[in-house]
Amino acid sequence: MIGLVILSCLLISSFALTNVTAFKSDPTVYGPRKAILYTAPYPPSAHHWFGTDDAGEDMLVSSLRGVKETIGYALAIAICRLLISTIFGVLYGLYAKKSRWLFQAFFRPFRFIPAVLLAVIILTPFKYESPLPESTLFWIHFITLVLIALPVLTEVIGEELHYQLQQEYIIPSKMMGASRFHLLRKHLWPYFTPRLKIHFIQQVTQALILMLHLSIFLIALQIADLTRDISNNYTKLMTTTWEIYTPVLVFFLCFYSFHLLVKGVEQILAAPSSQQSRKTEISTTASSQHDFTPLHSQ
Amino acid sequence: MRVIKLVVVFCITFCLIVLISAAPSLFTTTGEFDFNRFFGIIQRILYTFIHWQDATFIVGTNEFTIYPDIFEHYEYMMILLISAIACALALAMLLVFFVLLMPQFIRKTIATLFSLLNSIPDVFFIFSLQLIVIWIYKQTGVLFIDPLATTFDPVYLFPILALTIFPAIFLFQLTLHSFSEELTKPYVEFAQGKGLSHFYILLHHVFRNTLLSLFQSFKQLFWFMLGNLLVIEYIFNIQGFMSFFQTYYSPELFSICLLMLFLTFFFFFYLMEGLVASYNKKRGIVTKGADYY
Repeated sequence: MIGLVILSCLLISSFALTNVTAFKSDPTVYGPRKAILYTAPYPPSAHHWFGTDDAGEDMLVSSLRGVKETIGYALAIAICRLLISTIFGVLYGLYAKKSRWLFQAFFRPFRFIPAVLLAVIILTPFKYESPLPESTLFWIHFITLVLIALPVLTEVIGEELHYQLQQEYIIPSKMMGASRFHLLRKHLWPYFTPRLKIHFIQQVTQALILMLHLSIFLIALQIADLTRDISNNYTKLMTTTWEIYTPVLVFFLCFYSFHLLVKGVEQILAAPSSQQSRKTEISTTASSQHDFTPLHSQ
Repeated sequence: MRVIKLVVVFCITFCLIVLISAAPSLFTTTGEFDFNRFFGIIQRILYTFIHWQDATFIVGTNEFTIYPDIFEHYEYMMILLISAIACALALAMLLVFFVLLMPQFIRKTIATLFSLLNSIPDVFFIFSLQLIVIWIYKQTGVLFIDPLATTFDPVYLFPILALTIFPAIFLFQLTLHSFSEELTKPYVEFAQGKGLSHFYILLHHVFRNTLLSLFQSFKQLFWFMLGNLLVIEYIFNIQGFMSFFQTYYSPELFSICLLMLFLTFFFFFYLMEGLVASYNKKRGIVTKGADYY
């Protein structure tokens, strides 16, 4: 639950700092006779722990300000991805039997083409001075980011459900004449909802890392957030290192909190198995297979 | 039946690769559908596959033929990937052995440390390595990677380092988990009862029994290593295989590269899964559930 604490701290500070300008220093400091002593960006100092950007804004504050948009965007992407792929995944898991290998053949290319690559390819034409209005660009980016993860996620969900359908307790239920819908509602859904939470958080982290990678390829997502800070400052890695490290650091904090959240949820899911109830035991053995899906895979 | 299935699978994948490669041309930059261009591109891709010797790519105003240049890049990528994964595996194993021979509290601290490391974005490491390269250059005048290179120049040390970090952390966590699970099994207790040393049990029994389960995760590992490689090549400015996709982008080239990637991974995992299955059969283990190939 430490994850939740860090996350809420980040979000609260992000909202609180939205309209605060107190942390801004003057972009230029003049010495006697109007000689310019220093100009922004200032390196890290006692006053600005993480340095400032070109306008004299404290880097940490401006990075924290971007947190809410970043997380909001990632959450929206994860929700859309899960909604769509749950629908298709359920259809695939329940109805595809003989034709499963065909579907698998369809999903396979997406298992070796990195998502970053797909996103970069599709979004590059819109990178430079597209004549489209910003809102359209925003939606193009958003839809692309949702779409590229669908095949893999659909397959994972479908395979999980299919695996669950192979369990022994399903067979008597089928023999008694349970319909597919009944199986789904009574047997699969209770097993599936906790898994959904883990999928959700994993999708959020995947979306976050994808956004980070895209920002390095200088593809701006049309939102004022951390990734824009990173992609704007990417070329300054050599000269003013702090301008890029601070957003990356804040990014890491978001990331770590989600990581802890996954662990927390998994622990909660695993806990009741010690009470020897049959149903939860099944769900935990199934979940232990997926324990180590890497958060960073895109 | 098996062969027919394999052929059909290949065909589907081939079609998908062509479609994916042509997909970006479906939209014009003004955001309208342009089916004519889309079909034109598909025709061009198919034409390239038939006349593969003449395929070219354009850099600036110069036109270069893809073959045999692409194989050089391909070889470079495979060297990077394989050596990175070998390093990661060796590192993870060494660390796991080291950790498991340590007392309990050290084990716990290291496990927490690694879960922290796991959530540091890979970009962070890559940036740091880039800075280290520059720092070394400033101190000694040795430039490991030319950040302004315009030609393909195979460099190994730093890309492999950058590629290793992530799989190493991931494999370490996975191995530690499966080792700890294996250590609770009754045969370990029996071996201890016989008076075998802890190290011997780890090396001769637990290690062998868990190695196979590690290979199951390789598919996913390669997937995100490829993504990493793309970012690494971009940041380090290496004109490697992945930059074919990115910098000299053209649909034909993209589809050819994808096909090469696909063939490699398909055969690699096909072989590996066959080996694992035959091994399991020999030992009488029945595997259920996911087999994707």
